[in-house]
Amino acid sequence: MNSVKMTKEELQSLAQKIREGKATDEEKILFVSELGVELDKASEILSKAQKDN
Amino acid sequence: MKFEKFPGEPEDNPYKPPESEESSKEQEGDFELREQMQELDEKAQVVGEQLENVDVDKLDKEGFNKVTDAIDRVMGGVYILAGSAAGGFAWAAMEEDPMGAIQKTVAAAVIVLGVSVGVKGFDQLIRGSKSFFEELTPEQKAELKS
Repeated sequence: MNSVKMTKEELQSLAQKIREGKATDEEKILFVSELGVELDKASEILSKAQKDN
Repeated sequence: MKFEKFPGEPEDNPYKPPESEESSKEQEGDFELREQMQELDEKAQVVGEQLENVDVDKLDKEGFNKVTDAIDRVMGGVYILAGSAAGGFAWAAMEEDPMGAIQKTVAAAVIVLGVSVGVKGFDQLIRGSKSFFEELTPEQKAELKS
């Protein structure tokens, strides 16, 4: 599934939906994939900063 | 070894009917979710190590904001997932055992997701985040609060 950039509020609202047991598997996957996108973004910046060290 | 069947026990049927489409979709979803979680944990491991080793001063303002925002989003999502009960417990335990408290929250979040995967990478992400935030100057910390 392709991840779409979600706002912080959308991400939190999805987390809440999962928490309440109302989310589908697809939505859970989207949530996890969205967290992955955030980590990728952080990793790219940190990697660049490490190379500049 | 072949055991005798109890009276009334159904015969083994080698021609089992195919699983229902619904159940097969569910299994597919579980599998994909588990794979995604494992991938996420691997990414958390990498970012955790990077956070531990990076010189914070080498990040420009934009990069610094993006990194802190990403950590905030990931851990924020995890906290909401863990729920108020686990979150409340984690905050209560924070003063005595901050690392343990966050780790328990991550574990609770994974249970909510309904997948059984290891979260060693998240342990590293927590360690790395702690080290990263400890390295911040008072000015950088003030900027985060503003």
